[in-house]
Amino acid sequence: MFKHTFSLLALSFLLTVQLAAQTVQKPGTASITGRVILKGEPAAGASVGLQPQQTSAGGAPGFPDRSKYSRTKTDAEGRFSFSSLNAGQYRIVALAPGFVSADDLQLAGGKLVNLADGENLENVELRLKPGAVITGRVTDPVGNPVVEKTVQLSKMDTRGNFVRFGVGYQSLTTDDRGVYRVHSLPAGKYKISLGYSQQDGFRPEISRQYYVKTFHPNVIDEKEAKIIELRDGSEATDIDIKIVEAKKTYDVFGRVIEAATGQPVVGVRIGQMPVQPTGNVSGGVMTAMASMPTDTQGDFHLQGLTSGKYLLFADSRFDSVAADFYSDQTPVEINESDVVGVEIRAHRGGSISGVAVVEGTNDPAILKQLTSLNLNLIYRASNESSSGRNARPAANGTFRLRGLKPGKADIRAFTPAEGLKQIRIEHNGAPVTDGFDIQAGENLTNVRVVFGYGTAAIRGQLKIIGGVLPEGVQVTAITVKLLGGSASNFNVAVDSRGQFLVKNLTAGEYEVKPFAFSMNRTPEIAALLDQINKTAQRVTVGSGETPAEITVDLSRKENDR
Amino acid sequence: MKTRILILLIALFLPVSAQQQRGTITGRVVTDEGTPLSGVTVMLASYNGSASPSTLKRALTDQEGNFQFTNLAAHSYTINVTETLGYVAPSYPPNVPRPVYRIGENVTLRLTRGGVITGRVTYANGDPMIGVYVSAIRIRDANGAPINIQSPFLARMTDDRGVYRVYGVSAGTYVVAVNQGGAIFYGQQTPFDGDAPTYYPSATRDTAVEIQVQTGIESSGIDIRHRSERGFAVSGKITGGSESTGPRSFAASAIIRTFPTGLNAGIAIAESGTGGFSFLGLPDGEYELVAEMGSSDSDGNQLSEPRRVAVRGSDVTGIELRLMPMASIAGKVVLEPSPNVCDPKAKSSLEELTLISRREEKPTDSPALLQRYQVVLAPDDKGEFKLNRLAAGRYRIETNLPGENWFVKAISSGASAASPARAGTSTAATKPANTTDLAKLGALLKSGERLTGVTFTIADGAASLRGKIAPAKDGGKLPSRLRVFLVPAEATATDDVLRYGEALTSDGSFVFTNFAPGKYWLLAKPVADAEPTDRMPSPVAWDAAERLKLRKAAEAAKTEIELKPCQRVKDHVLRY
Repeated sequence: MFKHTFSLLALSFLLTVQLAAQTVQKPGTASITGRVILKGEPAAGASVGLQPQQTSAGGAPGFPDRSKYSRTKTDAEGRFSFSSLNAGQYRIVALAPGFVSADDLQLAGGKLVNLADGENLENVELRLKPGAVITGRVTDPVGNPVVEKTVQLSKMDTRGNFVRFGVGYQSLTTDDRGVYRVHSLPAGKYKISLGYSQQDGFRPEISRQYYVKTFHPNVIDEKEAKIIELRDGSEATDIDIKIVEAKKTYDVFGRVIEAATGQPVVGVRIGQMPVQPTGNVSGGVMTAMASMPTDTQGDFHLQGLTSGKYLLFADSRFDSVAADFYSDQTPVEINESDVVGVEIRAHRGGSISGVAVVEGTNDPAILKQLTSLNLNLIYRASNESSSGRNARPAANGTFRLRGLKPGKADIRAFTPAEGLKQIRIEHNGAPVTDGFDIQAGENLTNVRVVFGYGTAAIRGQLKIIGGVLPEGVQVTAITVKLLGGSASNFNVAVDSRGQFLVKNLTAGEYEVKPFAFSMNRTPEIAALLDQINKTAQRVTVGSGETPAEITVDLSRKENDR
Repeated sequence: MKTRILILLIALFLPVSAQQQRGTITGRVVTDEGTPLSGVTVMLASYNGSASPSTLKRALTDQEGNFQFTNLAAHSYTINVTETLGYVAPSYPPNVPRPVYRIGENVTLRLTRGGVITGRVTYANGDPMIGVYVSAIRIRDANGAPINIQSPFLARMTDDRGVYRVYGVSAGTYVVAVNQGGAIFYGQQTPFDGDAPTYYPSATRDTAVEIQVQTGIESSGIDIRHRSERGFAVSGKITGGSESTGPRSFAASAIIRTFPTGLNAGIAIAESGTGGFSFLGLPDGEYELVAEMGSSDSDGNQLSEPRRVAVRGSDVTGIELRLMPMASIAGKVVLEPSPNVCDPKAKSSLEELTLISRREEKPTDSPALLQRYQVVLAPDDKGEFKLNRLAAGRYRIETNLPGENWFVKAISSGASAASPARAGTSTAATKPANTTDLAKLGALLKSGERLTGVTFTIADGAASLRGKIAPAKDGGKLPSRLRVFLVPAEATATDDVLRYGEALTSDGSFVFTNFAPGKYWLLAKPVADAEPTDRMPSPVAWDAAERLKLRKAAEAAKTEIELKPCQRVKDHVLRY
């Protein structure tokens, strides 16, 4: 739900687009048939959507072109079919608001399938059950309704941990009476809250006050939160939240100067990383695009921060005027008052420049894909994610990464399953096998980032044996890496049958391994993810299609190896 | 030459005075009834240095609704509110400038308790329609004047019972629609993609039942039965753009609006790689499409020409929207030394004035471009400005001046520039001085044209005129809306567009400030009931023939008034 004045720039921010000619495809030869099952019975008249997935080049994944989606309805026996499909990756979803998938908890989940030419995929089952509802009213410490604020849900997983629960298209926002109503929820045990606590990381909104995170019915300590139990299709009413406290936010004033000269650095935005009470820096980086870059005196003014510790830095990734700079991370503590006089010391960084090339082809259509790739400089130190830089090759392939902080870093282009693959990096003609060790102010030139566009492919199968993955853990992708060089790895999607397809490979030895993911990272889950993600398989690719099989045995523990 | 030397002197002097002066803007947020609203976030933005004002400061109103912003530079500011607790701030039509505030001012912001529209949406068989957007579309304001341009847009999604609740609705007349394309701009595939909108109660747009919304009143039972009629698709691709657009360009997007009413019928982000876009579920009718692409480089924005499309019972495919660079106007504001200084102690700075680009338009002009006609900007401390992101067209530049002591004396281009391809070309060639009177002719800009060297001459000694229109006979009745014209009476001023003024009034009072001293005629004319209030029509004086007609009518009315330098005429009565 939203009330807004349209801001397309905000919506499409940082999504770059490369405009090219549209290709017209002939009707394909593959098909999909299946059934929608509701509470064990065939569901007649249910809408089923088929969504082709974009796997080829084109820069960042954009917004889907919904005209390419198709939709059908199930017959009296709950059957649906899609025919004349081209080979490719599709998502099949039951479009049934009010219901939830009985197979997985990804509400928009459905089934992802890699379809081959002429393949007739049969018996796809989309099983549904009625969703449950939580509704209530939220009031502020004075008893007034809390209007247009978002409630947060966490759901208990199979191991008894409460995990942040993201939902699909249903509203989590309170209305003008403070009333919220969240529907289409899977059965389970929930906690519901509204407000912010510093454990949440950065606070996306910039306001002069905020509500301290309060759980139903009126407690700040999550351990005291009342648990709401939902059955399939049930409705929990009067799940009210009485906000305990509203707290003020504060501002930070300061200046960015070039350490070497003492001169102000103009036109740079300030990034912030909240420091948890434990001392950990987590929750990502916030660079408020809404706030002003430093002015002609280098002065900045950050607004609406909650009390606590932060690391501030000059984030020149978004402002070309200050792109030659990086800065120290400057600690700041806000203790119920504004902070003034913060000095952030910036330094002129090094640079890496060179050319991106495609080996083995002169096809202009393929060469053009280069200009839609981002070359990312990624630091190996985990707390330096915001020091990374990116550059897009010009039409002639030249690129320049600048404002580089000293440190160990790699150049990586995120390439799609279908399209160019990064195979090698050279510096002064010699292969770069272990990234770049960037020195202060050093300008590296004559770097070649070599891409390939082969005709070989890996058609693989992921098997999970010895048990089932715990709720919330998913193998979302397969990571592919060309061995024996400086190629960067890339991910391809794995379908609901465990199949994956990697195209446009050049000959060589590759490593393929599953990439498992969970929103919840208890030590137990982290160990499991680690185990899955280490199950690597080597594949020697020649020409044509090479099969691969990855087997993850959940019954084997890490120690058994 | 003489003037240019003076300009240099002023430029050297002004930045110093501008930097020294700091001040405060105080204010209060209240309801229509005057009750203070506490806990509202007030945002202060500056036009200086940016074409789209960025929020500089935020304040929270206290128990009495008060807020203040201190230590502010002498700039021009806008003030917006957010976190308004269900109250509604006044909205401004897209080509009407928002109020500008300056240091030392005390601002009262009046918010109204929004109305509510609520009801239930069902399929033909009575099942609830879940997760569909319901839009409240304002078609007339509280006074019954028609509204075509939808801003802001109000839409809410139905819940699992099919119930929706649109709140924060300004008073006025509405139609309510399900699946109206303007609300569906991204997100998931739905079971209703491609369905045409259904209007309350179960109607098309033509047969929609209107709903009156009053301040703070809930209109319930606005139940809608879905018609399940398929709409049609309009699709195509966005071309052009791409590499030339500066360091960081954003995704291109297309917008479709109904024509000529300008109702937003959809927004589509172009597909990566292909530029493809599509709009689904459009009912038969006339539409207008336009594509745009933003950029972090303010000169990098691109816009397509608007494209008209008729949907008649089938899909429309293959529409190409070609992005083209946007135009800009750059120049300098100079304060001319004047024999008349109204207030020697006044410390206004050039940074406190705003420049507003206005594209000449007819009532039948493209609604799709309307929001892009207007760029508001304050000059920098040297008086320099650059109005960019302008669509192709003929532009005038208007000003909002600090205080009442200054007036705009001349707007000209070409004194220092050498490029032949500049604005107002038709007469520029015949003028020996090689300058163009932009106030009289406007600046005709092609796509991507960069007009530079525009000089804005400001002078001290302005006069003001405040008054009221009274019926010619006591007890007579005035039309509901009148437009009052101020027309220069000197024969030499016939084409001095800057000396013409017009003001719309619904209560008979009028104000003209920042006018050059001289002789004027006053004239009042009734405004047609059908004239919409959501766009500001171009002033009559912009058109040479209309200007002459206006002058003759004003002369015939024999309502001459002389405004002396720095004179502040109050309580002037104009009989109508």
